Amino acid sequence: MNEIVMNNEVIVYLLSETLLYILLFIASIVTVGVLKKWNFNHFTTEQFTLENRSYLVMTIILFAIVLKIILLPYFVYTINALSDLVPGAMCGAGVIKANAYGNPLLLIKIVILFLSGLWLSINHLDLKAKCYPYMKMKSWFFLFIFLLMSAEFLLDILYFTHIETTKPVSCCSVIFGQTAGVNSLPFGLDIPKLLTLFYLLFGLIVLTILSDMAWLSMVASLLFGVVAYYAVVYFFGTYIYALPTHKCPFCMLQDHYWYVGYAVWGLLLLGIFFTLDNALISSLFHRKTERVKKISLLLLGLFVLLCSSYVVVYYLKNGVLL
Amino acid sequence: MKKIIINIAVFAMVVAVIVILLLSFGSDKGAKYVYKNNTEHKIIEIKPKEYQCSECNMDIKDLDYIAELVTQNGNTYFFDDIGCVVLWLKNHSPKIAKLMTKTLDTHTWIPVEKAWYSRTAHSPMGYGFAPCLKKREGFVSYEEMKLLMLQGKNLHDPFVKKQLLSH
Repeated sequence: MNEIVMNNEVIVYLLSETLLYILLFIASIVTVGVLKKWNFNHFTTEQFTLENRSYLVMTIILFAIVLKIILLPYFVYTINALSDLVPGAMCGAGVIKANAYGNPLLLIKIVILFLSGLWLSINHLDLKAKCYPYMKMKSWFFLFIFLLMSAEFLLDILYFTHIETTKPVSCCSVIFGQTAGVNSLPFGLDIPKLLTLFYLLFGLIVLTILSDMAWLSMVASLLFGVVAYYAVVYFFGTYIYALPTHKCPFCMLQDHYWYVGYAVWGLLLLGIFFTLDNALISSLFHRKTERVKKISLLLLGLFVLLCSSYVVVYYLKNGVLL
Repeated sequence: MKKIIINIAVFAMVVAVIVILLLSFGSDKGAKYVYKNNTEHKIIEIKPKEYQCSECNMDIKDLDYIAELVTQNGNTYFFDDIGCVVLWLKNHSPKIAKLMTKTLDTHTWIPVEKAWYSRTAHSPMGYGFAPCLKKREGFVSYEEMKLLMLQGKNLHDPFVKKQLLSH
């Protein structure tokens, strides 16, 4: 048996994922049954049973989705823990690139996180109303998410069973390091333009959220997600590590850096999620989302403040920038 | 009034974002890897840092070790180290019209098969292989060099390095 699969963190992770997948699999079968016969206007015993059953299923889905969201940081923690076993890896960056399944797995996990969060919001709206107005919609949406979760589960197994402990992988300085002559930043940006975009887009998101420009805030937050990722890896990260050549999104998740990466990436992902959630719920369902607005502004504000504070503190301590 | 100010600010910010993106796209020279339309299959003389190695992405700075691969359709690929040529050909199978390298001893272009390779040179990628026109003791042929490179038996291997450099 592969040394990786016998690792404690991997066993806990895969076991949790398997249990949740079994729960969601059962929920998806029941959901298909409910979808086939659902008609809220029928006053029959069958419809009454379906309503009870759907409530139970939605509670199971809610439970499983919340646990899956919690499992994402645990997955990242597991990847970091594996860097001790995989030769050449100094952090999660090398481990995630240990085979071809790593990056698609991480990407699908983030997509599922966003879609699951959206499902939770629709479910919340549905349960608040008296006549289950979004029952069919959220059921179809759940079945779509379940398909993605099936792909994720398959990728989970393929990924962990295909990490070799005899084959060296690249460390983060090779993966994210500056290769002479090649611009690693997107859209041909350089660092000053990247930072200008970073703060401009943050300002734009704040203004569009405050003035209820749903679609514009959605576009701005998606673009901000990309720009912020590169800004953290190629600029703010160097201040977290206090080393101009150290560019890595994973090392900051380690204890040497006080696990600040969890706060950085968590605030960014949740901030963008709540911005998108606010935009979609207010434009598609025409609901007031004042609380979600405040949460998204708070999270993104904290993210920008946290990143910027590393630069300011470094400058105040050393009198120079990196 | 407040709404108008917010709208103007949003408009200004959107314009600023678009302008920055357009400026970046416009000024992006990008990495240069391939010289196209070399249908005469000539050797392309380049300046240091003008092109990047197709295998390792590094700037080609030291032109003494440069190798060029010209395909039948006129695409010319540049490599900063002969080791990179071997690694690149492991994953690519182009229709090769010409595969040339510059020699370290005579500074002339010759086909890679005709060169003899030193194993202990300070090549840009540190594999140790340097093409030369004249054979000397310890030099290997292209086929041998290719095999050694694919087996990882170059200066990156500490045991090989110790063995070769201890003489």
